Formats: sequence, structure tokens, C-alpha cells
Amino acid sequence: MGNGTEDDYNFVFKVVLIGESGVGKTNLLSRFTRNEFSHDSRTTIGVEFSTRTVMLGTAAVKAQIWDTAGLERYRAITSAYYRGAVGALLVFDLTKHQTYAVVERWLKELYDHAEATIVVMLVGNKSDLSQAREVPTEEARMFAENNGLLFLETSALDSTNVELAFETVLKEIFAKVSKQRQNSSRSSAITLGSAQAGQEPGSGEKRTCCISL
Amino acid sequence: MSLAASAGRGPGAIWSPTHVQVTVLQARGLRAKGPGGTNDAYAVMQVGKEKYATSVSERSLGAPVWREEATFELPPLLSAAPAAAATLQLTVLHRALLGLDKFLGRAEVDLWALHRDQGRRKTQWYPLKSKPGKKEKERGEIEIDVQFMRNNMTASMFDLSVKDKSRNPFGKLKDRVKGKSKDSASDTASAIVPSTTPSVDSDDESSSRDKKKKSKIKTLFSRSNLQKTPLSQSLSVLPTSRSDKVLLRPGDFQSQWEDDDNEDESSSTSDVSSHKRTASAELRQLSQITLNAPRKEGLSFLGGLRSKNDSLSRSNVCINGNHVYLEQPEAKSEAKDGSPASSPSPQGFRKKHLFSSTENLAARPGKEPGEGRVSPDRRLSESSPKDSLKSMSLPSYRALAGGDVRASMAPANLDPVKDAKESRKQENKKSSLLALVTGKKDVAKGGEGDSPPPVSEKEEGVVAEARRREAGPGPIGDLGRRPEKDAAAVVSSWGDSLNPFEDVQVADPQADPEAKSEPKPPAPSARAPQTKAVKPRLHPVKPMSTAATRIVGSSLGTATVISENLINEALMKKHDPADPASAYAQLTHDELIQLVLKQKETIGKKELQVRELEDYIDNLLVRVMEETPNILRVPAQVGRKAGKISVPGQFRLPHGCRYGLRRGCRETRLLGAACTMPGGGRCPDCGSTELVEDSHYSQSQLVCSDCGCVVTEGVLTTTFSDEGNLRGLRRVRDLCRVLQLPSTFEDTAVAYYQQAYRHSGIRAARLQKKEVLVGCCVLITCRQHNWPLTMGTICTLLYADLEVFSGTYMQMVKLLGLDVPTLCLADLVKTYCSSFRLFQASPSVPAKYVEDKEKMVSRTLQLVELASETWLVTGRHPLPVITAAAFLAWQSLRPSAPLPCSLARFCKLANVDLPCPAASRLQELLAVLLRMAAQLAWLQVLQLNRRSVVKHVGDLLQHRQLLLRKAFREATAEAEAQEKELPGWGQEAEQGDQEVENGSSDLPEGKRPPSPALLLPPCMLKPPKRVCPTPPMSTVTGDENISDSEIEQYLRSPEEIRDFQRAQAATCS
Repeated sequence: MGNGTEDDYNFVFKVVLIGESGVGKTNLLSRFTRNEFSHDSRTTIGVEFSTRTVMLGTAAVKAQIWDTAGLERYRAITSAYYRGAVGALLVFDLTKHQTYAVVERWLKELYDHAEATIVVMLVGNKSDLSQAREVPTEEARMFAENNGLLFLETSALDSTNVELAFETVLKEIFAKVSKQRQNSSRSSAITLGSAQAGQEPGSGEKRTCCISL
Repeated sequence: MSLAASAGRGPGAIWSPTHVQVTVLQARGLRAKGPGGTNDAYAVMQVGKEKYATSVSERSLGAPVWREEATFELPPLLSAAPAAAATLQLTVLHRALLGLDKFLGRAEVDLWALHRDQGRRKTQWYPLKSKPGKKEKERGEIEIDVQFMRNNMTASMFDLSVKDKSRNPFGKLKDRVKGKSKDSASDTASAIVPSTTPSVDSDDESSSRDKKKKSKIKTLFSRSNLQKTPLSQSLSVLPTSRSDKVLLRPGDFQSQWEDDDNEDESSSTSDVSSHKRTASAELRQLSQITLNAPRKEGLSFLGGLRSKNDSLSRSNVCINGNHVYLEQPEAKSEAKDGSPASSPSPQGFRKKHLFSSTENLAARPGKEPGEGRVSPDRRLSESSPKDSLKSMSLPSYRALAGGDVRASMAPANLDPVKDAKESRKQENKKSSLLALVTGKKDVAKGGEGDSPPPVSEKEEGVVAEARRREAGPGPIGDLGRRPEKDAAAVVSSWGDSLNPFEDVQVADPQADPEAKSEPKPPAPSARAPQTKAVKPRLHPVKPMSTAATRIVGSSLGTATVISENLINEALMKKHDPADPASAYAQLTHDELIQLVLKQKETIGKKELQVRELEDYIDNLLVRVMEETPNILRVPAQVGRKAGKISVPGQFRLPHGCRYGLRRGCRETRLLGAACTMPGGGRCPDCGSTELVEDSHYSQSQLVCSDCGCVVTEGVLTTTFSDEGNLRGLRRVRDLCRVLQLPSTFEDTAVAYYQQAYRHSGIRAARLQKKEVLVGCCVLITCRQHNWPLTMGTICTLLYADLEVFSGTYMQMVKLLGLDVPTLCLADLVKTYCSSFRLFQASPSVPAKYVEDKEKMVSRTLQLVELASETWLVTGRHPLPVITAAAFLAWQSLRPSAPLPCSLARFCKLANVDLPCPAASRLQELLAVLLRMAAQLAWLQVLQLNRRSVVKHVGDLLQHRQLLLRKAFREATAEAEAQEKELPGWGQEAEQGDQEVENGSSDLPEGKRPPSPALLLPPCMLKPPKRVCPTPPMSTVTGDENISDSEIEQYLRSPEEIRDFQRAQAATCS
């Protein structure tokens, strides 16, 4: 699909959405990529992704955000799902403590399958339902800090912090990648070898050069 | 059925039976054909072409008894066209052990006359006669029973048919009947029928178990009905029937209803339950009025209903349709039970009901004196809770009970006949009321709403009534108990009692779902326990009612409401088996537990399945994610929420394309603004809101119709196979139709298309090729069927490039490994020639040019054959050859006028296209002809030229074989000679050239003597102009020059590259 704006990107970041079933991953995604919110909450079946290109400074970053059902059990797609992901949003429903309680399990799965350098943000979704809140902000924040995660509370319904959450993650990834790029530019040999993230920097480098000129 | 009923009873009314059921009962006085004066007799019944034989009654002494029946379909619309008389032919035969069966006698019955004269049913002796034309002897007689029926279908079908009929052919009839009998009871009669039927209904529906009983019941009814009695008679009959009933209704009923043993009133109570709705307010009012007045009012009420509901009453029929159909099966069973002679047809049964009901109505005013009228209130009140029409029947009982405060026995004492009548009436009313209800829900509702409270009060006051109520559900039990009482009353009440519920259940749901739902809310909680109480019973409906009544007994106030609910519930159950409650209502605790366990198990299985499916999907997904993750992308466009076009990417089509697209858009827009996106999307390019969905090769896209910008790319809506199927197949079919090919061709072509589409080569081919593929399939099909269709024709039709077409054609033939015969020239000639417009004089074709088709075709054919024999056709398009041949034939047949005509003119005249090679083909043909002429001595003299030779075409063709053979022989000899003379490659080529000159171009000019060498295949006559040199058998020495590009292919290592570059640089400099 030729997409005028999306064709001009310097990076593609694969970001995965994880978390218990029903926490609102799909709506977060649709809010971010299409600015839509669906009230009929059907469980996601299968796997899908959406993209959105975000400008980070001078670089256009195409976020390829993957979404799947937050099923408990191990699924065949799990490893494929995480493969190549450079960012993850671990979503929980702050009105359901149970979804927060299992965050650790998700974290484990994430680290099992994804690269260690992956940028993870803990997202407490449904902040619009503040009266039904079961997970105190501070508790979640503490947890995030302890585990080296970013943290935000969002609402896909009223789109609070949705953009911010994704952009934060993307920025973080971008920062990491740029750093890595600098490193890699010194020893240019490996660039081609590393998968997606590695490939992009190459092209990104070119473009940024052009842009800076 | 109402129709049938009313028609049956209406004076002079003609109802049209659709079926006739003939029962051969017995015969007597048969001639003895068998040994010892006995007969092995059997009878054959025949109506029209339908024929049935009875079994053989062995060793009958001249008086066999069969009692066997057969049902025949009558010719449609007998009534409308009595001329199409149906005759029942009865033939009695003796089964002979050897040889033909022996004829014992025959009888003919004019069914139509019978029907007209005697109504629906007739049992009669008919004298047996000899075969027509033979001497008449005493052959005895045969007794048969003939029943005319409206329909012979199954219950459900019957129902439908009735409904349909009211609309269709019978509609008119019905209307007519109605119109006639509106004033009389016929209307009511129709209304009444339901009541009787419902009882049957309920039974049928509820359980097969009950069927027996019901059939019995029916027999009762039918008995009474059987006698074609006027109303009064039917009444008198009833008692007897009742006694029958008592007999008939053995343990069955009692077992069911034992619990419910109640006072006599039961029947009335049941009625009460059913009636309330219709009775409602009006009845109450009636009650308040004086005795006489109420009666009148009641009547007027009915009348009013009638008038109001005339249309409704018709609909009523539909409502009652249920009843009707229910009734039918019963009637049948009844017939089985009873002896054949007495078994009443359903129709008869019905009819009788009608009679009785009507009678009741008629009698009612007089019979229903004060007693009945006092009660209306009560009636209403009581009935109202139950929400059933039956309450109507109560009045008389109630009046007695309530007004006089008699014991429960009081009702029994009442004139049963009256009761019966009343109940009947009530039912009539009920049905009409039902209709009313359906029409006017409000009234009914109001009545319902209001009635409950009074009911409870009154009921509490009178315990007896309550009891009665209890009895109500189980009227049967009552019946059994009080045989002493008037059977008629019992019967009627019984029928009613059965009916009421049924009726309500059946009719209500249909008539007024709202009303149904209404009553429920009051006591939803009450329902459950009651159902439980009922559970053990298999019969869901009746138990409910009994339960309800019981409760009523215990606590009258609430009971009314509850019973109502119950009834409703029962209704629900009966009517809507999907209702979960209905399914489990009858189950015991253990059963429920078992059920739960079972369900759990199945759920577990399902879950496992789901799990497996999920895994499967996951695996698929993994593969997709690894191979083509892009298809997992959520289409960022119109998306799920239609109308919203968010950020989508857009891409421009190249200019050329854009125009096309734009045009497409315009068309779409023309087709209707419906295509325009509703949600106010905007073209990001020009800001236009004219975004339309444009289907572009089965992929719908959102396109700006103003600038042609593709706003969103469509999702793939179809798979490739769909694409192939949808578009291609349609095109194939279209093409076949355009060509007017037989339908079998179409299928074959389609099959080929699908087959071809499976090949990746074709699937991936250009669109142009795919379009052509359609034609190829058709062409192949035609070729295989020897259907004269040329590639050219298809190409013209498809606007396809002939080369692409032939290429695709060849490819397809190869891919599919098809064996496609080449076009049969003869066929093509025939079809092509017949497309000429030369065979009839017309403004464009002067008479002098007109030619006989046959002659022309045959000569053209000859010429074409000649052409093919002289190798003029091989490898060429056939049409030009045929055109040329046709032209020649045309000219030669009557040389005078057409001769000066040119080929172009000819084509114009014939209204065919002039294929450009036709002219050269013509020249070649002429050359051949000239040559042939040269072989004929008498033509040599004439010094023919190209023009004049035409005149002799006939002669030439006549001697074609000889001339050709001669020419060919000489040619071969010549060729051999030449070969000897001129060996060597190049020379031979030269010689060939000369030959060519000789053959084609030179000859016409007559420079050289004609040579038959022309008759050689062109490859011999015209060797390729550029003689391709045989590749030198040079051995590879390694010294050959190698091109730079070739070298590049071999370069591998960096060193080599470097060396190569250096070398190149060196050569350049």
C-alpha cells in the first residue's frame, strides 16, 4: 500500500502491545493509529498491526504496532509476535487489579521472547474510569520504576495520554537506536546483519544526512 | 377450514374439494368365478389416471369385505369447471391363479355430481355392471364411501394451503361464501371451527401420547357429526357420543387428569381461562344490563364483531389455520379407529362442528336466559385472569354458581345442552373476538387489565367456582365422573375445555403477541414453582393449566394472575420451543443434573475444538507473520467504522490511468449517489468530498471522483479465484450467450476457464491476456464441438488483438493439454455463407443479385474444398478464403448480372466484412481455376482469363478430382525432374522462386504455360525467402570472441573484476 507520508520514513520500529485480555490494547492501538475508539469490545482474534508515522525531531519514525489477544496461555505466535520488537506497551486495566497483578508474568514472557534491549512501557489504561480504579497510580509507578519500565496512565476512550505513551516509547527507542547507530557507525561491518532495527539505521543515516545538509 | 366449513353448510355454497377419499367397503351378490362358488375378489378404484387396488378378499362367497380406502386428487378447481368431471371407476375382479384376472363387475360414480348433490360424504351401494358394450348381467353391487376433502396434505401443509388459498384461487370463492353467509351463522361457523379444532391441536402438538385420546374425542365429535343432522339433531346426537366418549376415554385421560378431579364445572372453568381477553369490557357491560338486553347485546356484539371483523374474520381463518391443521390429523386417526363405513372424513367432522356451532348460536338467544346473563361479570372476571376466550363459555355456569351461590354441582345441573351451546358460542365469539383482538389489541388489553381485580374478589367469595376452576384444566376427568349428566354438555364442554387452552395457545401467539407478553409481568416469580410442580408430567401444556388451577384453589387472588402467567408460559412453551424454560420445565432434578453434566461435557469438547482451532490459526499466523506480515496490517482507511477516512495514505495514479479511473468514477457516480461515501471524507488532493467507491479489478477503492486521486486503496475483497470466477466466468457466460451457443458449451467453457485459471502462468498473465482467455475458452469449446466459430469472430467481439488471442489460445491449449480439432471448414462455410444477405431480395439487395442459398452454399463449399486441396487454405485464416469462394460461387452461378460486381461490392451487398486477404485469396483461386481450365481441352480453346473463367467454374468443379489428380501427378514429376536438374541448396531456392512466380503472379498474366505445380503445398512452392544458413558445424576452439557482457557474467572474484576493468580501460584508451 503506497502511502504518501508513510513512505518517507527513516525508521521502522516494531512495537508490541501486551497485557491481559480486555485491558484495551486494541482500542489503544486504534486510538493511536486511526483515532478511533470502538465501544463494542470484542476479543481480538489473531494478530494484526497498524502503523503510524511519527516525526521525532528530524526523523520520521514509522511505528508498526502489533496487537493480539491477551490470552493467558502460550501460543504458537508468541515468539513470532515478539520477534524483532524494539518496544512494548504492557497494558493493564487500572480498574481491574487482576490485570495488574499479572503484569509480572507478561514481563517475563516479554523478556523471554524479545530482545533484552526492548523498551517497555507499563500502561495503566482506562484512566477515564477513575471512580472504579483498583490500581493506585503510585503503586504502578513504583513497580515500573523498580523494573526499569516507563509508565503512563492512559485512556483510549478519551484519548488521554495515548499519543504521549506511544511517542514516549518511540522516542526512547529512537534514542537507543541512535546511540546504537553511532556505535555501529564506528564498526560498520555488522550493520547488515542485525535485523530490522539494524537495517533501518542505514537508510536513516542517509536521509538524516540529507536533511541536515 | 372455515371456508370449507362455511361452504359446506352454506345453502348452495360450493366448496371445491381437492381430494376425494374413496373407501371400498364391501360388495355383495358377486358372480362366482372361483372354485366352489367363491371369489378371490378385489376392487380397483380409479380416478383419472390414479388407480388403486384393494387387497384380495379370498374365498368370499360373493360378498367380499374390503374396507380399504384410497385418496385421489381431484382435478383442480372442480367447482369452477365442472365439465372436467371426475369419475370414479370401480372394477371388481377375481384374482385368477392362472391367466388374466376375471372381471366381476364395474361401477362408475360421477364424483362431481355426487359432491354436488350430496355434500361431502356419501356411503352408498352401487350396482355393478358389465363392461361397456357387453351384455348386462346381474353382477351384484358394491358399497363405497366417498368423502370429499379440501385437502389431503399433512397437517402443516394443510395449514399453509388454507392460508394460501384464502389468498389465491380459493380466496374468491371464500369471499363469495362469506359474502353470502355473512348474516347467517356461516361466519360464526368459521369462527367456531377453531374452537373444536384447537382441542385437537393441542393434543397433536403436545404429545403423540395424547393423540389417541384425541382421536377418540374426535370420533365422538365425528360421530355426532357423522349424521348429517341439522343442528337439533346434532344436539341429540351428542349425548350418545358422550357415552361413547366415556367408553373411549379410558385410563388415558384419567391418569393424566386424575389429580385434577374436580367438580363438574371443570369444562366451564377451562373456558373461563381462555376467554377473558375477548370478553373483556364489553361483556361486563353486558352483564350489567338487564337480562334481555345483554343477550341482545351479546348478539349484537357478535354481529358487531362480525361486521367489524369481516376482514379480520378472514384473518381469523389464518389464525385458526393452526386449529385446522391440527384437526386434520386427528380426523384421520379417527377415521382409522372407526369402522370404515362410519369413519367420518375430517371434513365431515368439521362440517358438523360447524353445524352444531351454528346451531348453538342460533339457539343461544333463546336458551341463554337470565342465568347466563347474570354471570358475565363473573365470567369476565374469572376469565380475565386467564386471558383466554373460553371465559365466554362460562357465563351460564357462572351465572348459576355466582348468582345463585349454588354448590359447584350447580353447573352440572344446568342444562348441559345450553352449556354446550354457550361454550360453543363463546368459542365462536372467541374466535371472532380473537380476530377482533388481533385487530384491536387495545380493547382486549384494556379488558385484561381491568378484569383481574374483580375476578379475584368474586372468586374468593365463591369457593365453588374456585373448585370449578380446578376442575377446569381436567375436564376430562370430570367427564368421566359425570356420565349421568348430559353427555352433550359434557362433550361440548370437554371439547371446549380442551380447546380453550389450545386455542389460546395457538391462536393467541399468532393473533396478539403483545397481549401474550402483557399478562406475564404481574407474577413472574410465581411461574417457576408452578412449573416445577408440573414438571413430572410429560404434557407441558396441560400440567401447567392444572397447576394454575390448583393454585387458584389455594389462593384465589394471586392465583388468577398466576394462572394467567402459567397460561402464557404454556403458550410460550408451546409456541416457541426455543424458550429455554420450556425445554427444562418437565425435567426432574436428577435429569437436570444429568443434563448439566452432559452440557459440561459438550462444552469441554467444544473448548478443545476451539483450542485446536486457535492453535491452527496461530500457526497460520506465524507463517503469515514470517512471510507476508503486510497482510496483517489493519487497513487504515474506511475501516470498520464506515465513513471515516482517517489518515490514509494516498497515492496517485499515473496520468493515463487517472483518466480511466476518473471515467470509472463518473460512471459510478452516475449509477447512484449511494456509492458516495456517507461520512464526509475529503479528497486530500483537491478537497472534494466526492469520494466514491470504485471497483477496480475487483478491488474496491475510495477514489476522488473529481481529480481521480485514489484516497484509499481497497482491501482485497476477493481472492484471486474469486476474481477469476466472478469476472471471468461471467464473461465466459456472457460471451457464450452472445454467440448463442448451447448451454452445454457454456459449462464446458467455464470449466476450461477455471482449469486454465489454476495455472500460475495464466493467473499471473497480463489482464489483456486474461480477457482474451475468456474467448479462448469459448473458442476451444466450440472447436471441440465442431461449432463453426472463428478466432476472428471472437476477437472482434472481444476487441482483442488477434495475435494476443492466438498466442493465448495456443498457450492454453498447451497448458491444458487439450485436443482441439481444427475448425471444420465445411461447417464454417455453411454458417458463414448463411450469414450473407444475398438470399432474399431487399432494398439493399437488388433482385438480380439474389441467389439461392442452397446452391450457393454448396458451390462455395466445393470451391473451398478446391482451395484446400490446392493448399490455399492451410495456415491461413479461413474467412477470406470462404469470402473469396463465396464470391466466386455467387458470380459463377448466374454469371450475367453479378459478373461485373467486384468483391468489395459483393461483400457490401452480402453485408459482411471484407477481410483484406480475401482479394489475394480470390486471385489465387482464380489462378487455380485457370490452371484447371488449361487442363481441359475444350476450355483451352477459349483462352480464358480471370473474368471469363468464372463462367466455367461449374464445369471445372465437376471435373475437379480428375483435374487435380492430373495436375498433382504432373507436379510431382516435374518437381522430381527439377530436383535432379538442380541439386544444391541455394539453387533449389532459386528454382522455388521461379516456381512461385510461375504459380501465382505470373500465371494470371499468362506469360507462362500453366503449371500444375501450383497444387503443391506452399512450403514446397515458397521456400523461405531468406534461406537460413545451416549453422556451421564449427567446433569450439576457444579462440572465439567473447562479448564484454558475456564476460561479465563469468566474473567472480574481485581480482577478476579488477583485471577486467583494467583491460576495458586499456581498450578504451
